[in-house]
Amino acid sequence: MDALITRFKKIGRRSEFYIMLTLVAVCIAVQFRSGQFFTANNIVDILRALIVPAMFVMCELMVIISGGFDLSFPAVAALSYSLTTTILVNSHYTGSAILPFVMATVMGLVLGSLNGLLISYCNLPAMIVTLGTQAVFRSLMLGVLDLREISILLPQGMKDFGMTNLFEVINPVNKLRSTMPVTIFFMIFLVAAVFLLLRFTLFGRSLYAIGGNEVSAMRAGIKVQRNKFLLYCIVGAMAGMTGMVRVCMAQQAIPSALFGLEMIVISAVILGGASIFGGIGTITGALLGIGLVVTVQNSMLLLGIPTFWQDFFMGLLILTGITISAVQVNRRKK
Amino acid sequence: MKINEFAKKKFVKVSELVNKEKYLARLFGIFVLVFAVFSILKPGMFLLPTNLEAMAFQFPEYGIMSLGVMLAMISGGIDLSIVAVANFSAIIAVMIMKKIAGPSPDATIAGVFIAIAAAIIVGGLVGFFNGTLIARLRVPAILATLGMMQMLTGISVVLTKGKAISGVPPIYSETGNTPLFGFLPIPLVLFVICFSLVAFIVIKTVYGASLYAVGANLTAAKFSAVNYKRIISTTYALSGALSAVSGLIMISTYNSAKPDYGTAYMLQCVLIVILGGVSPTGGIGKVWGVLIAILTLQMVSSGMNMFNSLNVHYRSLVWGTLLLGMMVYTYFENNKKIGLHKPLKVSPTKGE
Repeated sequence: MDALITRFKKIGRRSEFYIMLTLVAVCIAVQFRSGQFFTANNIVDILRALIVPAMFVMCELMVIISGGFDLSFPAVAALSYSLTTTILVNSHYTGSAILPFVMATVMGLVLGSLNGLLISYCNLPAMIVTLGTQAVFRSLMLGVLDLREISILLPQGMKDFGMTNLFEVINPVNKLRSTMPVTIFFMIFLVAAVFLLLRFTLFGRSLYAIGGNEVSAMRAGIKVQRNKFLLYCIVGAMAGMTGMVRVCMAQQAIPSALFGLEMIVISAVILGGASIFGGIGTITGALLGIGLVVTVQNSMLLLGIPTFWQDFFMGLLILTGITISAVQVNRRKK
Repeated sequence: MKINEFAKKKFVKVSELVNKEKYLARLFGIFVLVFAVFSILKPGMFLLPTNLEAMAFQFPEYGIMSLGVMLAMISGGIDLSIVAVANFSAIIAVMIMKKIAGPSPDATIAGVFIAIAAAIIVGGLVGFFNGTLIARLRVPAILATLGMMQMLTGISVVLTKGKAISGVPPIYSETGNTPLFGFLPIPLVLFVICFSLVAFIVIKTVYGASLYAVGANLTAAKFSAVNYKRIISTTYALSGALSAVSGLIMISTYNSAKPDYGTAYMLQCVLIVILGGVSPTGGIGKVWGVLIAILTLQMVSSGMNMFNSLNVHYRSLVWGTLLLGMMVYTYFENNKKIGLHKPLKVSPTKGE
């Protein structure tokens, strides 16, 4: 009995628990208001909307655990997919979607390695570096390379891949169809990979150590610089891949499509209980955080709240969420 | 002979100053270089009085906001809500002006003054709220101001339905856009006032000294009986009020207020402050560095506007490269001095 109580107490202290409660409360509230929440097509819609943000959340989670901060991943993703699709369209590529994915991932890796080089080997603050590289990548994309939106000309292989669906559900009441794309496997793959990486590899464990205390980690024999460099390379590659998933799903490559996403993703990671100072953070929490954000966004459409209220509610959600988690952290410290 | 000695003395003094303020000197070097490059490349356009006047109209908008970011960053935080605060207070100001302004010029002028006061108070209050979240509830500054940005933009969108609200009394934008005495642009005057005020506060007052103390080492400041909660709240309130002043300038530039004016300014201001030599971890930074950085940025953007083949995006390329290059250069420079090529590389055996 005592063991059970301590177990519950432990759960009650974790921010994941509160996020979960909020998420459930939002779901039930929306269900009561609209009666449409727990329909098959709405659930599928939310999952579909979750794919790309959840993949980005995995990138940001790893960075935040290591005590860093990445503002550049939307720019990395956008530059990789825009450049890839432009090159492929110009060379009249007609093959499958594999080559575009490989190209975008490699490009993301290269761009990420620039971040890594500056942050780890030059020992510069991550937030400022990524702020700078973000500006550079965006201006490279829109200014120097002058990449434009590609939609109709998108290679057929990519279009087909994005249109491939696992299953389709139809709402019996209003006959709305929702489809589950195959790209959800990318999300599952990435989440599983990050989980394994963070839990079972020396590299993953060292990220927690570096985030907790960099000097201690170094004294403990962890190759801090090398691991940080690797981290930003991996995150860049992941961002490149995620960008390509988005292009396939949306059937168009818009260079400016991801602008501003970094703020939502970072807020989701912090809502999920990760510490902005590094060393603390779980995959469950981060996924619940982004789940809450996406559900709230989606439900506002369902409840018929005018779109211009959306920003306000998102801001309110983020502000209350981070305040509650900050207050909790302080209480724990005392 | 005497003149020679005098010159020598002066030279020694200057070189001492350069040595002491190395970063500032380097920054000034870049400023002069940028000025020279554009003056040589576009002599017929860059040095024209009209261009200089146009520049003086443009930079105060984000220059005043940068001062707010600088204060926040010296205190060890950051303020990302500046643009949202500026737009929000601008919207409030325009709404008040429209309400009060009547057919009689007296009522209009009274309305304008009430609106200006209200905007600055609103900005200050929002900033104070930021400061409370950061100092008393210990929310990390970057997240608190980020959330505030999102929420204020949301409120602004709700207030305006996402559209620009116009109907600013003509007297307001006329005053804002006509140079004082025929040659002094009002935004420049406002910038000079704000800058002098901030410089005075930071350099001469107890608050300024405490600001640096809080940013450099919060724990040490606490034990030195610095009321850090009040210092941080005041800092963000000041930043909010400064943003509101920028918002008032933006009203006269666009002759309206809108939730998404000047959204690019946020990153620009952070870049300015860091390029100006303020440490992102707090406690270090000089107002003069920020001033030079603001002027350099304005020259870069105005100068690049004169090349038709370069579009708007080249500006942020130059700006981002400048920031990264400057940081890397400073890094290698510092390492050369200490004789370390990889900092933080403490070997476990010899560490203690």
